[in-house]
Amino acid sequence: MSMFTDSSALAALSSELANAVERLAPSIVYVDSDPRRDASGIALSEHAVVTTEHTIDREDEIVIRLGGEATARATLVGRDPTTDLALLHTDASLVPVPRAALDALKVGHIVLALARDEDGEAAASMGVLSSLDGPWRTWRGGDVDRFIRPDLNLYSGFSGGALADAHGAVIGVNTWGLSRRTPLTVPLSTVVRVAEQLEAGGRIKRGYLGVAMQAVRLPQRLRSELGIEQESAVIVVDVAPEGPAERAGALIGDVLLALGGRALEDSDDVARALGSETVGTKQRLDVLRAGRRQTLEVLVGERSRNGE
Amino acid sequence: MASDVDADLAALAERMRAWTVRIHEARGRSMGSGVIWTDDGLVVTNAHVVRGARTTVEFPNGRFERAALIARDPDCDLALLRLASELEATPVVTRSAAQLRAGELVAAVGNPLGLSGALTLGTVQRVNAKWVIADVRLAPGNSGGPLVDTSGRIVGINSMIARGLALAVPADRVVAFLRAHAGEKRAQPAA
Repeated sequence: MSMFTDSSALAALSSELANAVERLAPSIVYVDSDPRRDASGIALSEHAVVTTEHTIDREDEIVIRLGGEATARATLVGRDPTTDLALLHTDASLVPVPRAALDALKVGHIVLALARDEDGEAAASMGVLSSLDGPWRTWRGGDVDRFIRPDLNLYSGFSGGALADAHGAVIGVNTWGLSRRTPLTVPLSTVVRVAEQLEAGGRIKRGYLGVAMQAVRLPQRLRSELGIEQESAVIVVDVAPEGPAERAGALIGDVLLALGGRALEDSDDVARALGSETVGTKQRLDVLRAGRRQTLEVLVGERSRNGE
Repeated sequence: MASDVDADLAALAERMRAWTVRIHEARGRSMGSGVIWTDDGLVVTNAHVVRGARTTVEFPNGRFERAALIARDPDCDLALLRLASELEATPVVTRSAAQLRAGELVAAVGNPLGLSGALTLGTVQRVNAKWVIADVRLAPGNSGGPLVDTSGRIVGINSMIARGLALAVPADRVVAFLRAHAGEKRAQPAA
């Protein structure tokens, strides 16, 4: 009848990818929590959905859309800005995502990003795994088990959706919220861990110093005189009364070089140095005051929900 | 498997290039791409590619031929040209947008950025009432060219780029457009 056949390897690959989307789509929802921004979410269990934290605006009256016309209300259980994840509960019955074996991942594997749009239609984007690395800490101080960067177009509304392998098993949750330059994927192992913590306490602890600061360049002469390797540090511009830093003796104008042995070159480094494990622990604070190095000991506090 | 996929892609590109022409306006500027639809000389392109009545079609082998505009519909962004001579072309095969699945592989061929017969590969993102929306890289010059599935069936005519996505007029719509206008000798003057 025609010269066209469906028996090619290319057609087989295409069919497998479409099958993967079809298999996973029932576990992908549209999350309506922000009138300015579309987002997706993945079903972690029958009544639990994980989405991205930065796409949560309204904490009440969150609506999720399943396939087609079906919608359901969802309540926010907790949110963790440090890993950009939020946990929702719904009465609707969802199909939990099939989970991929993260150990088998290799750079070059074909991957799919899945989302659901506001009309309830599943949407997909294809690419390859571009880089994989070990554990890392986000710019907001969150611990992520593995660094996963897919090379694909993560369109508007795809944040909070799934990154899946070519069989439709989920590798993690995609987000634009952890890097300004590139979409990244929070691995499913981290998603599960954070969801459990949010389920238990509603939030992830973060360390608190009680200072306002800004980055400063360290003059070359001072660096060579005092044997400092880093080129910049952060200067304290405000100290919260009775906060951990004030109790430790920190003053406005102090230049903070390191916390707990981690160099502080900008304020992101400070957030990274204040992971949940530091809350309630004593940490060494290396300070530059009046041209001299000093050491303070600070009892790290816990940052409250509204960031104070 | 990977080498089989490579070979299939190369064969697909070759087949698509045989159908894909470059469309020039009267003054010789290249405006976009077109698809040789039938062996009796009908060429489909976008309405926004052909604005004047005089058009020249450039074949993949470098030959030029005049074409008459016989229908143009800006609403669905389609235009139909008729070449003076018949061709030894294999008629295209189309596939309905309703059969497309998200995640399926699709390829676009066209003449973007001054290139000839450039191939880009991606996936169907979704299909709505008006468009086949694909995660395929297009550039100006792809307009009017084909979007095909892995078997070389035309699923749409590439028409627009929106937020990095390819928007193609569904093949069903093209078929309906041809059915309505293929018998016409030349375009009616615009009202």
